Amino acid sequence: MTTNGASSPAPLGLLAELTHRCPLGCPYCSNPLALDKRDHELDTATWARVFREAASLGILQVHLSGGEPAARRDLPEIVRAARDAGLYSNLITSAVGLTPQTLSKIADEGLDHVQISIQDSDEISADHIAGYKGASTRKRAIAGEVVKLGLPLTINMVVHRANIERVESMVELALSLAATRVEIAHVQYYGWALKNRAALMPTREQVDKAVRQVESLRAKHRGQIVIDAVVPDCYARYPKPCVGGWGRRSLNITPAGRVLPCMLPKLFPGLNSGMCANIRSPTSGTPRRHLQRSAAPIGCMNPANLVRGAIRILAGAVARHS
Amino acid sequence: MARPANQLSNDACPRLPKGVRLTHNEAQGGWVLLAPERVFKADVITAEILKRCTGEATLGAIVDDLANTFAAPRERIHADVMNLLGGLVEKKLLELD
Repeated sequence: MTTNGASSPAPLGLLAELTHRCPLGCPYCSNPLALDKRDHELDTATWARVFREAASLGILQVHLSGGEPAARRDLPEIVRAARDAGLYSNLITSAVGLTPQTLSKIADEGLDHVQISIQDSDEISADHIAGYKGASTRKRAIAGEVVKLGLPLTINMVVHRANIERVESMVELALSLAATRVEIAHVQYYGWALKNRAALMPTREQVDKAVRQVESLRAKHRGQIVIDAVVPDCYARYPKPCVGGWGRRSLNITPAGRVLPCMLPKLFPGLNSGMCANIRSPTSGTPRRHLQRSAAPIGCMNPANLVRGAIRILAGAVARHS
Repeated sequence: MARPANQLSNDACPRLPKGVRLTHNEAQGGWVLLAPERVFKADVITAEILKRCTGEATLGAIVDDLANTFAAPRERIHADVMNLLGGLVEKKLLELD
């Protein structure tokens, strides 16, 4: 989640991974290689409690994600719980498995924003990347429903070698769907993406060209659509600052209830961050302390050391696998 | 029908669109503007301007109200308001009716 640069006294966002279930099979998925089982998923009441606790920490926004959040039958209740806790809610969805009826219901429950992923502007390529025939058609249809309901729409485009030549037409597609925002999210090569990088990783020349295209698209469409773009770490001049320091800007909760300071620990199971809490752990005291314990120790650490440590791990992962 | 930023005339009625909210948060230390996957810190002056962007007051009336409330020169307020609102319209955080 981006801000206008000012630092905050408390984390801003909560990434709520409601489930690892998903009908698609994207090769760059940010799910860990070992998925949480369905019967280990946190129930509605627990998510409602987590949202209340997050709000009391000062967290402002929740990103309802997964896997595919629409795979949760209690999605309307979860959205209501986020609203009742006073959190701004973003639905991060593939739109596959999300019916217009459910969308209408969650809009009524107070959902603030919908982000839909689109795998390519070319529909055949898009369905192939998603591993789901008809995905493209479904996404465009649900995008239309979001706009009809008056909710803001973001189109998320995950960019890699198979679609990087079509950055311009992907932005045009987002515009034609009346999105107010498009995220050009170059694949980051960890987890599944690292495993599949032979098929995914673009060349430096391709990335540089895409960066130039995004700059000119921003100028061309200023005021019509907001374009947020992130380049892959492996081709950046310097590694990105690591989410502002673990636990500072956002928290991540997995479907089975692990509280993580970022995506990192689940993608590197051997990494002992010492900062992970488990919502259901009987020895960890009251539930409120789980989230607080995650936030407080991280705040005491020197963020510069955390940033350097994390970046070395990530850079090392790509280098070791090259 | 929303207008582009270059239509920031005195008779335009600025409004926060659906999915953009101004809220005060104690733990975050003040006013924040919440938008799709983005958060902006808002100082007290920004908050005073945005509170008046209900879609019912014209830009001219908002500037008048601020000039009276804060006993400040109208021209200065007008410049500050134009600057703020122009930036927000461009970022799709504000609409002009």
